[in-house]
Amino acid sequence: MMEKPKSTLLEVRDLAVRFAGRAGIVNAVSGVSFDLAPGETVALVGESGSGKSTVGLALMGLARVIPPGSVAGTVTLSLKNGGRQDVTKLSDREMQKIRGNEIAMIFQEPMSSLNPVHTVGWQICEAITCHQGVSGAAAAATALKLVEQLGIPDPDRCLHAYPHQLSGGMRQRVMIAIALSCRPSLLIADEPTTALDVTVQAQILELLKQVQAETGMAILFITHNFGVVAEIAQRTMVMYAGRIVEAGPVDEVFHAPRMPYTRALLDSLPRLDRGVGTRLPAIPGQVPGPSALPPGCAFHPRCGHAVTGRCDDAVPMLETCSAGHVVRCVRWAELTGEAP
Amino acid sequence: MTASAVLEVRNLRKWYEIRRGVIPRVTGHVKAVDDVSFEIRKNEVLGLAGESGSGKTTIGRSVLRLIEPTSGSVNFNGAEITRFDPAALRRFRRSAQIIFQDPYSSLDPRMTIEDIVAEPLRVQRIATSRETRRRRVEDLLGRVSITKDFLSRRPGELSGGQRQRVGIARALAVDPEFVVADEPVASLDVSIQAQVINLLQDLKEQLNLSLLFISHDIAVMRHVADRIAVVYLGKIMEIGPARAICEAPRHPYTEALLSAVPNPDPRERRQRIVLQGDIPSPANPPTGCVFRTRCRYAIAACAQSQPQLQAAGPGHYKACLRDDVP
Repeated sequence: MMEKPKSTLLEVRDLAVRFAGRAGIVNAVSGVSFDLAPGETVALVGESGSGKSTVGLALMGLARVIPPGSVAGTVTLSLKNGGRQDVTKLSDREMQKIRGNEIAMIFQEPMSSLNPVHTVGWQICEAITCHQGVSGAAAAATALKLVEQLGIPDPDRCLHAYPHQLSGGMRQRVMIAIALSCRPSLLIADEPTTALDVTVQAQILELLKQVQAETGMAILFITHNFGVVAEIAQRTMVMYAGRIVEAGPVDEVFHAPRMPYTRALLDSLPRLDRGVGTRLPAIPGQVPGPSALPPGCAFHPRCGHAVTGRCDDAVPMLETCSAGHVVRCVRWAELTGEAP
Repeated sequence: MTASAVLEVRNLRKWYEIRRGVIPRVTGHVKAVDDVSFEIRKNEVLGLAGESGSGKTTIGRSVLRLIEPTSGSVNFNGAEITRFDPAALRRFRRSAQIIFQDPYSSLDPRMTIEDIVAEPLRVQRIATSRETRRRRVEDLLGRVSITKDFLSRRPGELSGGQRQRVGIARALAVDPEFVVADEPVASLDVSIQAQVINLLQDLKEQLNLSLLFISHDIAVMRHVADRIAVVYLGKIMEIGPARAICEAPRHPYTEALLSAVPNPDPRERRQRIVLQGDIPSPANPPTGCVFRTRCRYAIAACAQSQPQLQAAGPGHYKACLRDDVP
């Protein structure tokens, strides 16, 4: 397990999400455990189908609703009133009080998350009145303050605009305004910059950092982009085929990755600081679908270090390789020359 | 025209009319591509980098006449393609092809992989017998590492990376000289991107291809392109050798674009230049230099006249008034 931060905001233990698909039961997420401290940013990184978004939905209590899945394990959250609550045990009605007020979420495509027939201001106010039960006028005042705080030019006009009248970057700012409207202690950001241009992505990342510094909320940042991870997170967890395969401080995971998958993925990235026209070391094969996982380590068919009989036998355990750094590979120690 | 140029584009424009009113009248133009000139030499990869709305896809499609340019000249091996009649255009498509961005919408879900790759052969009446056509398809799929058992499958049974390979095989079916690759890796997973980038590089060498490689990701481009053109609001801001553009950019926009790319190295968090605001509307571009509204070096003179491309190094040109920046 990852080292426990001094005070925990969120404690996830053995989270598993299963969906019933046409091809039978699909284990989208298995045995995910981690802690989150107040004010810290942790990146959950993986390719499509790795289960990273499902983890986000499960924390919001949405994995059992859309699409209907069964959630096992515990998600213990420190509430603002000082109590602690396993949110997986709450009913949908009780969960409604948690969402927005304690945990909020922003998504990849702001256009499809916003309602096209209402103004942006109406939608921000809706979130405030729904979760906090204040009057419309009070909500409108809060909305204006939020939009100003997020550096939206001409805030008054923005509040009266419909989503289609705004650019992608502005829409994502509006989504962030809605998510922040009830001052949550945890923000789950699911690929919030993937649909944006790099220059706008840079603006949104700066904004999230600034908002975090002001409010002290924790961010679980879900992304497939290692560059973004390096920019924003203190710790990172790498997922592959529904499991965490490596987790630790960003610096260490990037500079001394122990899991062959992490290493191969980092090596295969096109980077500005690599030579012009150099060949990229590509990972062969493709990401396995969750309904057809290989036995043993899910990465072994694509791994250059896989050994028959060891890697294709049982799913490896997460082992601690240094303080706060865990890896799911039976060969990590011999591969990195750290064998006892 | 340089002797070795395969494609030479001069003053290319694509303006879309804006019509308003009950009796529609043209009230303005969206200048998607405005006065763009470049050339692509034999066996060269020219990268076209820019953000969404910069006009890079419109340029890519205009040079193939998949979109009719408003004005300008597109010269392919000495022939002016803007004046081609339909028959000549069909012959032109034997030498020039395109790979599309989205491998999900660019392959017909009801066709088998064999039919998809054989379609250009049928249209161009190459390899007319059933057997030669099948052999050719198998050979093409082999080049992109797709095995024979995929011949009778349909796109729905393939992963994104495999679909993009099929799209590449289809573009290569007629043995073209020149290929436009429009964001060929943007929709692929990180671990698959590198495979497709390497494949494109190999094919370029083996088949002597010239490529127009369109991408919003300048890091990807650095691995593929020999030269890079950076476009903004339908205009080329800077063009030059890939190394010079990436390591010593001379235009403020290129500098900002490079600085916005997140670096996957937490120890090298650079001082980044965050551009303010969004790309302006191409229907109402700023006067003078189109980038000046977001440029941190802009001076009063930048609003006066449109800067022309001027030499900034060997084979390196920039459209910026100021010589002292960046």
